[in-house]
Amino acid sequence: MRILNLKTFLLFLAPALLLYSLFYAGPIISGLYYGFTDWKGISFSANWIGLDNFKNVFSDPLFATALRNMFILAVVVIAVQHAISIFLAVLLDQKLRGVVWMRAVIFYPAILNTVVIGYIWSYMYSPFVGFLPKFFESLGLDTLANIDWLGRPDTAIYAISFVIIWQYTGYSMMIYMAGLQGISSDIYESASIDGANARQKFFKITLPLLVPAITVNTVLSVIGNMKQFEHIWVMTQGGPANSTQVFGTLIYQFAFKTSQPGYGTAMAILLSILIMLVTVSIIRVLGRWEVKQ
Amino acid sequence: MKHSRLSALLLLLLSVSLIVSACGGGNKNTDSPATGSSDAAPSKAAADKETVTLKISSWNPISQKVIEKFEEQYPYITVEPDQIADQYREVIRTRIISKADMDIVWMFPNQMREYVDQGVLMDMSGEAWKGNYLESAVQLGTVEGKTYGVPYNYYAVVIFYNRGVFNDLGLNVPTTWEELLDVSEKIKASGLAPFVTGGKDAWATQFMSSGNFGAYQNKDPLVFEKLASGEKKWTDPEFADFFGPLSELVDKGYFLENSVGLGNAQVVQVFKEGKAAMYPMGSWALDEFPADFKEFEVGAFPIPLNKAGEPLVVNLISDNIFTGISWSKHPEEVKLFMDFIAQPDTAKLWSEDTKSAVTVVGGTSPTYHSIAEELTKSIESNVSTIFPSLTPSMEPAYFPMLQQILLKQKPDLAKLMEEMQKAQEKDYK
Repeated sequence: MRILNLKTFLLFLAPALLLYSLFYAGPIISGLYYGFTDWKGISFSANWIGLDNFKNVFSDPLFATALRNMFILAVVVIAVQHAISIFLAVLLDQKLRGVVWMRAVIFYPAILNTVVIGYIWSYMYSPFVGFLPKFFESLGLDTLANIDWLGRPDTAIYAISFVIIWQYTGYSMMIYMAGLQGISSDIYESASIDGANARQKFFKITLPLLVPAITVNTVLSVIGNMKQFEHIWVMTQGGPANSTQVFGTLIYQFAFKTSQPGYGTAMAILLSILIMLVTVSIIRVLGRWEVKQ
Repeated sequence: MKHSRLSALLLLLLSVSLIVSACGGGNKNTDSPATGSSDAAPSKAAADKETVTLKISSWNPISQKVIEKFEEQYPYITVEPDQIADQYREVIRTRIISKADMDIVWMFPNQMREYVDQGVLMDMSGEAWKGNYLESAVQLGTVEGKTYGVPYNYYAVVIFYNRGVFNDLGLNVPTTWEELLDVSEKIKASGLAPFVTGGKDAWATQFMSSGNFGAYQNKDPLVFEKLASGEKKWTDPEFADFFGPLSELVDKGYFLENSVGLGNAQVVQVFKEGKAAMYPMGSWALDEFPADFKEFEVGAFPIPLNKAGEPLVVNLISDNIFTGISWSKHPEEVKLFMDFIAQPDTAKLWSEDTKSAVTVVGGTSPTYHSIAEELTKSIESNVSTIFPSLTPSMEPAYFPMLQQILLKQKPDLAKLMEEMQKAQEKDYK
């Protein structure tokens, strides 16, 4: 569309642009600046310290922990959640009885408040008051029943990823179902005529045509898991003994708890760059697999 | 061509908005409070005063009865309590950065220096009410000789215990470390876990080590200032046994198994269910045992980290420092309120209403809880010190160490002290 009248154009643009620059662009730019300072968070005076914050981030042992946990979350959650949600999407895309009801039930956790979910699950996991130990006990699995899931550095991060998967499987299932409904039934019909069986249809038709939905879902959950904060903060607060620290919890801790917002901001900048790199490469790689109908 | 003019305009708009937003926060508030010359007959002068709303921010509730009595005495003032139960520091910090309209604010002791340096707090050194408080309480609100506020409630760090278990096993309340170990061994032998402490809320695990602070302060009242300035170091021999007691209890298996993942609320529940005999915590947890709690009779004693022959030092915690904000629009009324709560009668009302001890001398109600009298007696019969806050970088380093010990990872305790020192050095000026 051609811009006929610059004034009118600016008039319409101004309110949104003003708010955007005040509340998004402004803080982003000032954040970039503060990442290079020793800002203490209260006064506006901050000393320029160059790359010191970034150097310290890389030598901080917690940075390695955060990186490792981010990797675990991204890989475990994406692999498991997406396998399950594609399976469920295909299953619930059939014309079965009660299918609408089942979709609603599976989607339901996604609309619950994350903090509430976190608290409920920390009780469920608890070896003393929890449901999970009782469940394992009733199955006769006493070794599993005696595990303090959130209290052990080797199990805590996986226990948390289970909750994330539980919460968001329904959400990605919905996106996959939208993708499935976009696949024309003609293709399946002609495949049937050619004698393709269900397995072949899934791998040769459904999956390749679902790649756009996979891309969207993967990018969404990679971003979500890389900037993960709420689940971890509510369930373990980054503990025990820092074993579940991720960038979100560390940034929060430095920015607000220990009066080192400059350092926290530097970490946030690194995280943003990391997310951007990973997202772009995912879109590149998956984009190549996309096929036209 | 048109395009470049457009983008130049947009850029201009953006930069203007940035400058505007930067200036907004940078404005210095010029109507800073007038000090002194306000004591003369406040209620008479009040008649022709405009109505004033006094905002008080706190993390625990302010006694409603005290507020009512204050408003009765000064009808032109309305108190607006503003309780921020969660993430208090962060919320207050945000408000201070944006110079929000605030009058009276509770501060944690380790926030004092920072905010004093930034000119956030009102100097109240000249106020007469200082003499009404415990000396150690006034000290906590004083930075470099000037008083900016005073902490109001105090709590003791204690071990809550199940009296039923102690009676059944014929155990006495321990007053030395050796006695505590002996009691724990007997409880363990009876098949019950002697202690429970959580690991998720890391602050709740600290009392068996930060219980040492009292002894350190008793030997040298300035010990924490010296640590903060580098005159003393955490690696000095006098602190070598800092993690010792906790580590020994863990090594002997005195903690309830599988409790590291528990939050403090869950720990209380586990203790109430009788799954462990002792629970180290601040006396604020008395609230968990109201009159209708009948499972067992609960008791509390100061944590005996002292070896036989050493004095038992009771750690008091007092952290809700009432401070005035320097840009408050009602500095006179802030001072009226501060003076009002310093009166023993007001303090007693507060103590009874909030069920806690108060730093105003003679201001604690003896009946705020069924075990209040016994507890107050055991506190007063021993030496007591007010537990300091550590500098900001300490807790994020210190608490995970406690978790390591509780997880039976058997960390090298000397190395932990080195890391404590490293964290301390981050806060050097």
